[in-house]
Amino acid sequence: MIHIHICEDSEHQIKQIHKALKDSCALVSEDMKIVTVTRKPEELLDAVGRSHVVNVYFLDIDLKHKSMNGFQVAMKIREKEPFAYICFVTTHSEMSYLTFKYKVMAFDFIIKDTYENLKRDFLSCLWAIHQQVGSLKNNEEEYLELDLFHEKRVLPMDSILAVEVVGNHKIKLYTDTQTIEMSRTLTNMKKELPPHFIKCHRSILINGKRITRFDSSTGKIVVGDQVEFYTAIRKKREINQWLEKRG
Amino acid sequence: MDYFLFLMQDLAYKVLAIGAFILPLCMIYKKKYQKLDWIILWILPLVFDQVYVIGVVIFGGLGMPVVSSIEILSIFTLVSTIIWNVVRKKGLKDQIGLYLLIHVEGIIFSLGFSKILLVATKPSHMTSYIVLLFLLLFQIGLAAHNGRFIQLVRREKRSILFFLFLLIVISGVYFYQIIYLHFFSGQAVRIIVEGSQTELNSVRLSSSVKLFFGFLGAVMVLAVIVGRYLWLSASYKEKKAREQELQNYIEIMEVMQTDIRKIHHDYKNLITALGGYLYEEEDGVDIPGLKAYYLENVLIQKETELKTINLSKLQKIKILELKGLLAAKLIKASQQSIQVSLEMEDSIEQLPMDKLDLTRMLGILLDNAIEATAPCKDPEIRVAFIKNKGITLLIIENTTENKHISLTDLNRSGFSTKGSGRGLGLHTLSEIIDKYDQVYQETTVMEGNFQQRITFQDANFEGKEVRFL
Repeated sequence: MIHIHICEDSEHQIKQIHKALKDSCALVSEDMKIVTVTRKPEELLDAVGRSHVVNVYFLDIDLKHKSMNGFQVAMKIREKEPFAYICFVTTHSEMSYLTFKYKVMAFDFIIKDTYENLKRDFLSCLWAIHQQVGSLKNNEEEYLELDLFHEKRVLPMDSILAVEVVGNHKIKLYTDTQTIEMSRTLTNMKKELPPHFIKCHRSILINGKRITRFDSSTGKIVVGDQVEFYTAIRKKREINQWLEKRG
Repeated sequence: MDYFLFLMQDLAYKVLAIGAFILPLCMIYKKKYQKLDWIILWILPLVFDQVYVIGVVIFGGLGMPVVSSIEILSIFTLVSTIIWNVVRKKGLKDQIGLYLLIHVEGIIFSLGFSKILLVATKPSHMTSYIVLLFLLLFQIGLAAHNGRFIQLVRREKRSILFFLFLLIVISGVYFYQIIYLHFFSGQAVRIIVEGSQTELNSVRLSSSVKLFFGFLGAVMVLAVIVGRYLWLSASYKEKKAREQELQNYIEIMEVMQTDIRKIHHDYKNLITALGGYLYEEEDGVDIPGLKAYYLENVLIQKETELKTINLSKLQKIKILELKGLLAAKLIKASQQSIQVSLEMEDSIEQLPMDKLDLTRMLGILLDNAIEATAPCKDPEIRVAFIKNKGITLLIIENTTENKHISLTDLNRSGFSTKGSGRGLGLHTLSEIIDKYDQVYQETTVMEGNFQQRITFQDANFEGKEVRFL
């Protein structure tokens, strides 16, 4: 069940947003329901953290409220519900998009516009949420949880291709779509990873499941689509054995 | 024939001895130098040494040269390495400490070892080779750690003190080896490391030493002159570039000022026209006319307004170089009709990075973003500086057309979606970032979107560990 909450202070706009959301909800899934529609942030915050369903919040950034704007409301929601989806609905095109995304992990930004555009944006937003919730529910995939400075990252184990030492106490993690550098040692990282991550070099750890090519004469090894490394001579046998075992 | 054999032996010994100082450098700066550099670095001290030897023979009138022990070769190696670095314009500042360190280690070790050998056995040519072999192994073994040691010293901001210390040690050793032994002991000296067991009288040694210092002085003066010239021209160029940047900034500000005036003027007209519709007819307001006018004009105005960027946020940056660069690049982007947004909630006073590296890094990041987003349907760049407990984040996000950019390709030298040879920027970028332990890079490829994120860790970040060697 996905519960949707709306907070917007303008009487006229709240009607429009409500209507657009209701229409797009019906198109996405029967599982979605609009629960709260309010002009007062207090009313919204009262309900936060009570129910154990997936909550989606649509907030106006420019709430004309004496002590809170949309951003502060979002911060309060985030405190109580670390996994809720928060989306901002705004007229600004100059708002601090990246800052909000980072600080309250905002899921999406929707620009107030005509009903048609609004509905289109809501639809794609809700659809993305629906898919994400669905994929989280039914899978047994393993995940790697990372604490990066003040952020928690969750990466599917299978998407991780390799880990490489790049500096003094600094390692670089390669995934299908990202490279992330962090402060950690390779030995510590290896402890957190399953045994199919093998060392092909003193400073490189690769995902054995994702090896796509291995040339034992030159030692060149390709992981995932394009990530290339060179194996140490001593490790070649180990990798050949692993590949034979994997089949 | 005997003499020739001796010369060859001497040459072999010298090549090896220079190797003891050059090889550790080779190991640390594998990428920085090419093969040619190494060959020259190896040959140059030999050439100096030969010039010195010939000088002794000609001007000293003494026949065979006297002092060609490891200290002298070390000085020649040091001087020639520094000269070569100045000529090739490699960053001497970062490396000088390492050179000195390697030389101090080498000399101390060789002295210590040769003294032990002297006590244990009678010195001969064999012993000097053994000393060298051990020196070579020892130096190479240390080489890997030297780099870390220098990094540690730099991180603790003790570089100058450390260099001073090394210089004192070196001059102390030289003083002892060359000057003290000669002038104060006053009698014949046996040069141990060279292994020639000739008893030398002080007259020969004295003229030889004088000649040596004369030669060294000449080389030093030459190096200082060349270095100063190069340094001056480099700083002049940099100054020129700064001035140009400032000039650009001022011009851009002037353009924006006129733009704002224009917009202001337009709005005034708009309001006046609205007033016209309101009071045109005596009995009331011309609502249909007003509506038509509104739709026609106000909506168009809204679009033009979006194009100007909010540069006022730049005043939160207190790092001057960064401010100039950001303004210049963002304005360049908006001139190519790229939608630009800048987010800066907190003031940015300092970042744990050298200013030159910082501007180079940001320049590469922004240039890449502009280049990638310009051919898009809706080109857009977002730049954000975010401060959080103990860290400062720089996020640069841009829209892209290429959906399949491989991440390693991006970091590989020479890769660019624009064809080969143009992607050096990204390689330089990771080189810059790898230099700093408290700066982390993160790259994310999303559909139609590309994000680079740089995390700067403050110096007093709680999670930071200080590690030794």
